Amino acid sequence: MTVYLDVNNSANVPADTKIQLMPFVIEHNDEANVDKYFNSSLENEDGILVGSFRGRPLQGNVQSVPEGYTGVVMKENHKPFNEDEERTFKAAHTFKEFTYWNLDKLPGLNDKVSKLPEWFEIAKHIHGSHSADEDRSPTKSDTSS
Amino acid sequence: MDISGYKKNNSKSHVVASVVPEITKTEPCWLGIDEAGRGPVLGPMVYGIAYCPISMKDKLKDMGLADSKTLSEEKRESLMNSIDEAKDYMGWIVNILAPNAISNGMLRRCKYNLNAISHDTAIGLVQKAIEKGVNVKEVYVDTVGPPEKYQAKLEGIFPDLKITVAKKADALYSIVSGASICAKVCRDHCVKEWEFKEGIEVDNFGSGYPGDPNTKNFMKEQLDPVFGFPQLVRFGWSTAYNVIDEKCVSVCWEDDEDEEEKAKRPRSVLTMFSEKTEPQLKRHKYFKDNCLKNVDSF
Repeated sequence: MTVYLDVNNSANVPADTKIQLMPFVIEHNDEANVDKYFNSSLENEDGILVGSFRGRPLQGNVQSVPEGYTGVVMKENHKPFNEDEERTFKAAHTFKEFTYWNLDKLPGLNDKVSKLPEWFEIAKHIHGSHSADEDRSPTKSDTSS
Repeated sequence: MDISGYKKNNSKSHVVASVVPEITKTEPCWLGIDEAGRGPVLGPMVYGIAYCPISMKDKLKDMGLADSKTLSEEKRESLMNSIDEAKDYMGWIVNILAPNAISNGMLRRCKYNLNAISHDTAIGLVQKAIEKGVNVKEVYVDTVGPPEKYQAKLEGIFPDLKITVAKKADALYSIVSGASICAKVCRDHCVKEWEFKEGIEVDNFGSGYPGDPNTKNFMKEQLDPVFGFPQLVRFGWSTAYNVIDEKCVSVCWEDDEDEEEKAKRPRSVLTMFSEKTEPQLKRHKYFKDNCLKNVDSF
């Protein structure tokens, strides 16, 4: 099975300002009454957002997508009929910031999402394409070690 | 009783208090504690204290204070008025524990159970009365659990006070009846005047007791497949989470026990006699938290 991620149209899709990254996995891929049940009772307590989901306490903050990156929400228009079928996801929304939520814990440096920029850097080196010259040229850290 | 402060934000607990009568700052006082709305799956649980000089015990009897559960709603309202009219010598404080705060406490990573919430709230109210300058000497507490342990706990925290914890204290001591009326009247108002942050309009959601047909109906009709219930509902109650487990889309939290671990938990004493299996080494949580995995190629 091949999966295609089509972000070519991302410049033309609407920007979404209300993206929320929740600390759970939900078996639901459809619309939800977020404003009615969740946003209606959010509070800002000294810069920390406080909310509840199914009675569980959540704490969060607004975070920006790292410089040079754009957040994209992908959507699949046709559900595959079988496992072998090709799948195509298209950009549905873009975002520059999102609300990050933790379960009963203040957002901090130990959260996976805070470590994401580190991974961008590492990923560039393991998966990125480099020319042979570039690879050999000494970098700052090489010379100092 | 003015609960407008709570109504401004009914997701959070809120304390309402009468003016402290001058005489209670000098005369030795007795103080009663009781709660209302412990059992229902809907609405706040309200803790109440009432206090007055010990020398004025008889005045409370004349007022006709009795256990709030044996009184009609009208009778409770009229007794609440009498208590407010006795403001020269009788004071009260109530703590409205928001259903959302109860849910949040019970469903934290480390569970804060209802008994602990109740004890801490009662202790907090006695402390508050003392901070306000009430000359508290004797404390009478109604309890649903075993009185001895609770009494020892309170005596440890307030060594200078004479503490009496008893079942049905609201029927035995008029000052506890007073506290019980304050708590019950407050809870009734909170429930009756509930404004849903979710914008829901409901005519009647009943008493909140799981057997009440109106409550049953409300919980059936207001169920959202993603969010479950509005914040009026205490999500920590089995009546609430059983419905969610059964009818809502499933949600997996990071602190959920793995299926694997659940299966490994011994089920009966018989497992003690079964053949021993080599203990499996479990990876430290650190690896999972940092998304670290072993790979043999990139």
